[in-house]
Amino acid sequence: MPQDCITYPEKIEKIYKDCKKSDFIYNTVQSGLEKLKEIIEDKYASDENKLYAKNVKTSLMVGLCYAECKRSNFEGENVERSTSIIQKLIDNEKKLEIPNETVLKQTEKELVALNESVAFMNSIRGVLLTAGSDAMALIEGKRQVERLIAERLKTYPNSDDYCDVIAKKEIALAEKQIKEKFNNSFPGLYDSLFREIDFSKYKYCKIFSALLDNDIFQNSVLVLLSPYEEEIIFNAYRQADFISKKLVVIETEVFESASEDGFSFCLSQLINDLKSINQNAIILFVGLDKVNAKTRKEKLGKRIARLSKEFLGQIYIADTKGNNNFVELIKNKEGENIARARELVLAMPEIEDVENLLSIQFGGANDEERQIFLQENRDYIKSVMCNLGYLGLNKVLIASNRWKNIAEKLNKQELLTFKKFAEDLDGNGYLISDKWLTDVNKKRKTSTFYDYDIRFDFSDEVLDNILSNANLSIKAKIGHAVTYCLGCGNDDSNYANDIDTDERLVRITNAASVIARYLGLKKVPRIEFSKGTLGKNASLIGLCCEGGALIKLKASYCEKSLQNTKEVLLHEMYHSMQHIAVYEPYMGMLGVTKNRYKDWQENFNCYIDCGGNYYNYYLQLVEADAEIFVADVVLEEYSSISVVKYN
Amino acid sequence: MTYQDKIKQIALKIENSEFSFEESSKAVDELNKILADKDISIENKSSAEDLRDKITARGLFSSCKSEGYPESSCKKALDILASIIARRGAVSVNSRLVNDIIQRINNELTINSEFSKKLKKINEFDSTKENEFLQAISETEKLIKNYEKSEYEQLDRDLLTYAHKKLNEFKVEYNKFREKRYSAYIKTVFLKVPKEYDNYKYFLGVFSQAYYNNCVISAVSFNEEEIIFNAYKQSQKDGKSLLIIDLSSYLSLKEDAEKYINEKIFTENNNLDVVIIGVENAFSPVMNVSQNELLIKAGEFINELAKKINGRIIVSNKLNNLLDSPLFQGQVVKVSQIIVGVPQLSLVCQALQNENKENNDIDTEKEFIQNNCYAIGFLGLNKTIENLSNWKITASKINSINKQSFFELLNNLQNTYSLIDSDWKIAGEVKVDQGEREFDFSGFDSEVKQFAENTKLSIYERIGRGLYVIMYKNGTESDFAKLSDEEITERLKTGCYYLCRWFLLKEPIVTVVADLKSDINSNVAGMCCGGGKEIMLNLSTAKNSPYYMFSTVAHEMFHAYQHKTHNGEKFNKWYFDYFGTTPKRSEFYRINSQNYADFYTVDDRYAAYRYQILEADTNIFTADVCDAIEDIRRVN
Repeated sequence: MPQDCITYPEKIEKIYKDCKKSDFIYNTVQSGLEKLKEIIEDKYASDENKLYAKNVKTSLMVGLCYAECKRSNFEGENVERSTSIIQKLIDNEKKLEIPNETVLKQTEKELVALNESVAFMNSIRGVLLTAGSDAMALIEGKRQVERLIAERLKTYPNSDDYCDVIAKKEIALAEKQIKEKFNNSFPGLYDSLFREIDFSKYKYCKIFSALLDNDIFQNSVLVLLSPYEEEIIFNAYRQADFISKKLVVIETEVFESASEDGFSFCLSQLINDLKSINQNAIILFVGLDKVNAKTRKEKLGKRIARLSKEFLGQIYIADTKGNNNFVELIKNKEGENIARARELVLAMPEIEDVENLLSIQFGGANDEERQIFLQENRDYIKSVMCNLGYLGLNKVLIASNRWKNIAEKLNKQELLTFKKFAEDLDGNGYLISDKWLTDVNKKRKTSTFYDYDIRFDFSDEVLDNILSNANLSIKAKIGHAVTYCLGCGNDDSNYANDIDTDERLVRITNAASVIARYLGLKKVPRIEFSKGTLGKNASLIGLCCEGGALIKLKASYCEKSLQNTKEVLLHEMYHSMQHIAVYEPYMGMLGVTKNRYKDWQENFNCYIDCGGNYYNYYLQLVEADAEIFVADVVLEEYSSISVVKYN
Repeated sequence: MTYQDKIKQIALKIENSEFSFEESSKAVDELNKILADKDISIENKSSAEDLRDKITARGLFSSCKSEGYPESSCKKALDILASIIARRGAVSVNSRLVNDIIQRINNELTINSEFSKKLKKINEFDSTKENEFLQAISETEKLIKNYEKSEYEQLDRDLLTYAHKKLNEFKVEYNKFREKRYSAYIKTVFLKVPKEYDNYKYFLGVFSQAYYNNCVISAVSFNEEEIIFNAYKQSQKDGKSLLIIDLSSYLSLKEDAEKYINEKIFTENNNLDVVIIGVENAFSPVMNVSQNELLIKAGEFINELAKKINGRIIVSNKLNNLLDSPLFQGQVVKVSQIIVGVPQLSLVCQALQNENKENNDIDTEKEFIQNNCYAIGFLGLNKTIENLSNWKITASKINSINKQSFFELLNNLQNTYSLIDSDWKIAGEVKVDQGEREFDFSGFDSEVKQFAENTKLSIYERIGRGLYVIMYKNGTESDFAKLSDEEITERLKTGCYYLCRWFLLKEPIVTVVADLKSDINSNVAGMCCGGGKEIMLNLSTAKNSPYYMFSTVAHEMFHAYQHKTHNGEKFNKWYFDYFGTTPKRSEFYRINSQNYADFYTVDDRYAAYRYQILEADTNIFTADVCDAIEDIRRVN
């Protein structure tokens, strides 16, 4: 029989291999030892085979001990007993008449490894034990443990898994302790920072272009206006998601209760954690709009303004009242270093989009059925869905055949809030399109108009003549007026050589005021000179920032000539108008139709930077329109030069 | 069984067989066994020998036949058959059979030798004369054809194979001969692109596929090389090869050479673009054939190219050249003219800035660039960048070489923005045709006219309502979808022609295709090709979304209008009055159509497509028109 054919050396080898394969679990080793005993006690076995069997017996026992050590260590028990057993085995082996050198060496090696593991474990535990209940020490301890693991991995790239498991367990423990610690020190803050927001079931959203402008709006505060707080959170969340950032929603009360140090400490911890997964955060403050006390509000505004300078991500504030004027609150409280702030009304969805989505969802499979659905429900949708916002729209969309119930319920529930908000909202915020069946727009404060007849405080007779000249087109007026404002009746060389930077800035601001009026801008953007290069690109000569509220001009370029300044200023002012048009009501300036407003907005949403393909950048709608505006103004100015007398 | 019976049985068996080698030798073996018996009767012996000879003779014949009468086996068979006759004398009953077989085998041998002789004679043609080459080929073909006919099926198969081989050899030799003979012509007709073009980075997307599908492009530039260069780079970008044909050399070809060159062009693979240059030389007065004939010939040739080649056909042309004459245009179905613009000032500055890292502020060099780089073209721009250390010298040198032809073209243009953007100092003032435009809607239904001519309505309402009536008559949009293909096509065509009246456009060719596709997109609603020469519309879109087709018609026709505004015509005041288009906007349309971003549904390239000024303005126009008819749609 084949079994009988196995020689003793083969049998012994097999026993060892089996045990090793099973990672020296007790049962296998035990049965192996018994089989070896049979061989050792077999009087017909040769002396060599008996010695071989004895050596393997020692190896098995060492293996068992080592494995048990690791296992007991993993389970958190004392390992000293195991090490002492191995030590004894080694001693026994040494006592033998002919000690087996290989076994001895192997056993000693394993003993060293085991002792190192134990030392490593102890060092980790030691770190966390010394940290005790001190939060800072815990964080530092956690980092130290991570360092230790990294070092160990460097020395023993193939080290056994048990150590890693234990280390990870310790780190998790430390994290838990840190979290508890924070919660005790700054109640609610930590949880608030790490609060998971999940809007994943609501799929439909709109990306507001103003929220996207990361480069330009870094370090600035953006006030998001909507009648509903959840709507604000939803839009902010979607926006953050779109640019792969984490949205952190912070309750004002929590923010207030935390000390300034404690808050920035928690924040740095959050940023640190996000960094490890290559993410950054957007912070949204909610509840600030419910604070009534003026001093308390100012204090909080000041803190947020300070925070916006330290924090590298974006900061949003939710405003559900519409009349809080957080922008001024943030801007004015920082003394000389004015913090940047601006506001954005989160407009209600457009009726076309709502109709389209509902007909796809509930109307049927083909276009015809959908058309019929819309014919039946158009008026209903128009009146009931008007104030639901994007979140409400999503809720309706997933409501299947109960969608009308949900829509009506939401509509009723929110209608008063919505109307109040709309009435209180500063007249220019674009909240809802006229196409909806709602009377809020009628009750709202009227939009600013552009009064061409207003006299500017820097006006003189010449400027008045230009602006009131009936023979000039609007673009020609702009051209002549800007040239006059910049040159003040003098020639180009006077502008380039004879005036200082301050004077130039005053003139440019005056010119901007004129342009602003003709473009229908409520506020004249601030003009700043930039000494070095603007932004990343060396060839950039002007930049329209903060959603049109700030225009930066390259000083060296503007110093050169009046013509240069005029063109870059006109271009950037037009951008300012485009930005503002995106979230202001339609004004129809210079024959621009609503559809162009819409496309500007969409173009801003996926703006093509000047760093890439030159033509893709140059020919995109917002850039081309601005460039065409400049050329048109210049052309009309020149072709009407005989009409205007400067002196 | 008696011997007699046995012999009879063998005879019967073999008679019913095909006298294959195996059957024959088996029968012969059996007969030999019988003959080996010493005591066999003479009668039996003689009948057995008779049968054996008969079988041998027939076997030999059928083996020759199945082998295709090779000379060697025929001769061997003849020897054996001769020995049978010699052995047995002419008295045997089989002798007639044997003689007959001998004669037939001899016959075949004669045919074979005749064939060989003919082939040998063909082979002796004069390989320095083309007509003899052709004759040899045709005669060989004829020979093979004749002998392959059934009556000569007995021809030696090796011989036939040999003949086929020979025919192929003739053909290969003939091609080599022609290649050698016409190599000089090939060199003059087909031009090669300089190798350094591969390294050049900046080029104009003027020949982009999206706009010049299906049309012959008549490209106007101050420099022919500029056209070749830009076309080459575009073809390279599209993964195609470019064939550059010198028209003057082509038209002066003799008939045989022309035939050869045509074969060369049309048997090339499909992945080909063509540039035709040398138009001016082709029609110089030195030529002794009348120019009209030449024009027609050129037209025919180019039209043939357009029909057979899938890629672009670009003809380098000058303004008001002979190629614009009706004689030429009459031959070519769709010609679209483009003026190849020079690089924009800002591009030249940016390119120099990007390439020249040491020179941080190109602003200081703007004056120099303004004065010395306006006529360098894209090729010159690349060459300038190549010699960066000496860029000023290189640029001004190229500029001065191009200057004369540049101004020649510039002065001939109605407006300079068709060639050069207004940032350049050299760009002239915009010439505006101040004339009021008139609307002519004659030929349209009164219902259409009633909207189109109603000045109380906005321009968008007038356009939109008229188009709506044309497309849907008094029915609904879903009624429209149910119409016959012909009726839909007719209405779409009328819709396009209606918009032509608004934009004062020549009526384009309107093609309604069952399933319109582009290289990138599998489902396209409409396309405006050749700068407005052809409008292609998708029938399935018209049926599936009738209202989308309404906006598509407006969309594609606005594209046609956009091209009209920049392509060499004088700027008309009504462009602005009715459609808000200013000269600068026309200039942007020109720059955009020369740097068009293709349609991609995914990634950031979608934004480049969607928001480029040509597309964005068109979409805005379309949306304005659609908004203006919103109320009548609701009523319906």
